Amino acid sequence: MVRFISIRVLTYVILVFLATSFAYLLAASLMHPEEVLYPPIATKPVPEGTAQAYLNARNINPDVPVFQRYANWLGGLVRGDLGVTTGTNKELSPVLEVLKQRIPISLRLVVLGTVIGTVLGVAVGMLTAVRRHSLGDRGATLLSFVIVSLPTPVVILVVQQINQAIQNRTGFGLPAINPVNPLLHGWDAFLYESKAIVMPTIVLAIFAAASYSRYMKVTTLDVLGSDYLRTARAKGLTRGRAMNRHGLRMALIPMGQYFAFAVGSAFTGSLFVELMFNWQGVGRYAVSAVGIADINGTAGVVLYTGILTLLSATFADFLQGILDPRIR
Amino acid sequence: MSDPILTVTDLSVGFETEAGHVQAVQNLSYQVRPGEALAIVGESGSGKSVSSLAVMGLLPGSAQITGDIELMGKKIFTMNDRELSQLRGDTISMVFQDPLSALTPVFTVGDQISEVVRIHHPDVSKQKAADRAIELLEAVGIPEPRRRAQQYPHEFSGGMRQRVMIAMAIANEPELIIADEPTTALDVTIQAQVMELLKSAQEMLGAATILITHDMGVVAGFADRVLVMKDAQMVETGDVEQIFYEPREQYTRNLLSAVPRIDQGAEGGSVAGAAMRKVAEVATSEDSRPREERPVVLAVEDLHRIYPITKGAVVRRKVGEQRAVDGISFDIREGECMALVGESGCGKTTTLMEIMQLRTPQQGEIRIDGRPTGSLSRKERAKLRSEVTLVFQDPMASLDPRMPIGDILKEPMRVQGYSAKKMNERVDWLLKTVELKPEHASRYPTEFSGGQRQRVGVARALACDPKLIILDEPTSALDVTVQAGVLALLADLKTRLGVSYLFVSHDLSVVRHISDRISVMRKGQIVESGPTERVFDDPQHEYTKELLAAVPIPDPKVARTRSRNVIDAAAFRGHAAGGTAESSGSVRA
Repeated sequence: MVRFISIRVLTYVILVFLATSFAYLLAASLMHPEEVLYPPIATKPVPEGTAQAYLNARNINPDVPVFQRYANWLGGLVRGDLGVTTGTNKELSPVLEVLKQRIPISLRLVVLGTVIGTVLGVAVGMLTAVRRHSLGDRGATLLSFVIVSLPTPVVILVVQQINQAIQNRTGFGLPAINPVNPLLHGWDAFLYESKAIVMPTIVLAIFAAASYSRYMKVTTLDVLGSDYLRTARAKGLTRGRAMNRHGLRMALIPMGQYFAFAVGSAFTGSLFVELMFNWQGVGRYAVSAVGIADINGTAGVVLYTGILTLLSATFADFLQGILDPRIR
Repeated sequence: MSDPILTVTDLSVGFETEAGHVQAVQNLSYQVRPGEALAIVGESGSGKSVSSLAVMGLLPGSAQITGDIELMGKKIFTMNDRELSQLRGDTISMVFQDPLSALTPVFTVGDQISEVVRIHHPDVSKQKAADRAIELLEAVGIPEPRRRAQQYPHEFSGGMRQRVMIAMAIANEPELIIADEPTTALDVTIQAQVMELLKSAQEMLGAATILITHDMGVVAGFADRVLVMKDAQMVETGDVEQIFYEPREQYTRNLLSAVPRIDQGAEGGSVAGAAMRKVAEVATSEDSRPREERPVVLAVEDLHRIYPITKGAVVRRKVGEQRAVDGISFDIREGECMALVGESGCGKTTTLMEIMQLRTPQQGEIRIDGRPTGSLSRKERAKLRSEVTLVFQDPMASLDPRMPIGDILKEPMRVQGYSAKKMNERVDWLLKTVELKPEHASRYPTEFSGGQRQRVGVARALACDPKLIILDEPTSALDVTVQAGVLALLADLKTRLGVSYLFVSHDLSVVRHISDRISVMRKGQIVESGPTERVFDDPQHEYTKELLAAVPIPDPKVARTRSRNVIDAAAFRGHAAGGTAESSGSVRA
């Protein structure tokens, strides 16, 4: 088990490194943050010396070969330095600091959304499989197809509108935007933050649950037709108990691998969620970093999502190792 | 006579499928008395399994059931799932067909056995139940039961897993055990062990048993009474002697006469095997030229195929080797059928794959018509593909469902560049040769039965006038009556067309009827080889003797002389002294 997990983790670390390297090289060769020094952005000419200093300070000098810049960036990475933001807004703040500020805001959203979404999806998928062709199954199947095929912003707007309608009618409602209220302190601040996270989490969880219930339904249907479940019932377990004791665990085994990618898709969902709920998280930063040609920032975000996926994949492997004795 | 513990009255089971209403069981009535062994026999689709699942109350909700099943005074169909669950595993238990998939892979064997104890006796402590599981494992003959109980099903072989299933079935001393094809997926020596175990477990418990099977040989040694089913209905029922020696119905007679048997049914008076004797007659009435004068079609000399066992993810290192084929030699003459017999994993399939590849083997030599396969050019090898052909085991999977039969038969000829006119003529001839109609050429494989599809498979193998046909378990997926027909066809083709066969099979009794020579394979080696008669009448090697002794004989009198007691009753009773007294003295009548 330890051997199995450590080999897997090693592979994931290599993969994350490769992904981040590719992201850096792509960003470095396609983005042009130096445009800020030339017209039409710059209104008056920048002296050559100043320009060189500006570019070198950010490791984005186009006169330096891209692989040398990559090597510089790698050197920083080894020391735990992700470089500074290189965007056309001329801001010069360490990427690590920016991420440190934004990760706590994003992470709670992504983790909560994924966990609630998968648990919900597994429960719905299993119930719809066991009660196949029932009204509930048909309803859940239709609903999940509708949700999967809707674009994220539409679902966000629907959730926001429902909240607004409730607020109009009853006077109580959740905060429409912003994850924190800087005017509040202590218990009130915590209360506000807990309320603010509800809607964004609902959006992420709905998407995760919709796709997970589909997968789970398929694996559960496989299990329902299996010989060992029939054996379990022949031993004297009722339908429900046989499913809980023998079926659920078997149905969860293939789900482990889907979970590895759940966090990745939750992050993608968080791009829209953070924009439309005005959260200053990593998702929003990723969108703006690409927009303002922030090479180091983009690479930093890819590193963050890579590590996030690494962790969830490792967790999935661990889960699978516990569930399935055959791979231990 | 005591009251029956199971009474099935006028049972009918139907299913609504996409293809319309399917009647799986129709108006079936029978009774089982305490301690009696009833065998329900029938070919695939006869409804024998569905009727037994009905007794367990395990039919899917979509089944339409009429009639009545009464188990020890309780009507099964009036009970809900909870009430039925109290009976299942306690009063009535079941052993299923495929031991490889019947155990939950993620729980230890010990846990799965102790579970069945604890379901019905919740007051038994976890530790007691675990000890009971070990006793049960010991009783069914699992060595080192304490260690084995901690293992998972995938660490057990098929036969061991079926023993575990039996241990679970007898754990609560049921009144009725239903065994649904318990040995179909097992090798013949393992089959013999499992059947002996089941018989002795039944005798020890005094439980009634329903054995569901298609194998008449297994029935003869096990059952007191036999019920023959066909097309969802009962054909005949009676004592085992009456069924085997004086069957009343024509279908029973056909079924029995199609059973291949190793003893050729020389004495004993059982009807079994009558039709197969004719196959043997056809197969042996060939030209009288002695074997030595006929040309050698295939010669295999000192063939090896060794697979390395590697370890390590990044740096692979060899830790051992699997000698799949370990230095075997044989030859096949023109018009001769040589059978390669052995149990699963003995290297039969590897051998024939090596021959079919037509390449240089790892070690040794394969010669076809005197030419070593290693020396062939690409063109010669392509040509030779038409002369050495293969008939596969599963006729359902080996024909492309999207191609009409005619195209399937033309494909090998097209590869060899036959003209369109010649191909059409040959398709007609081939279909007639395998006793199908030429107008069948435009039909698709799904429109044919299993036996007809296997005939198409044989026709395809014959398409380009082959010298040698390799038959890979050609009848093991077929029902016995169909098997008899296909074997008769093969025997006839051999004498008429003079082709040679390499007949690969696990079934000694099938091979007896068709082959001229037999090679018995074990662990990659041929342990015994010789003319069929000699090997059967006077086996030299221990393993051959063991194999022959394990083959069930479809004759109740002969079969009874061979049964032995194999269950460890002392280990089974181990618990009676302490603890769960109520389980041993429960509802025993």
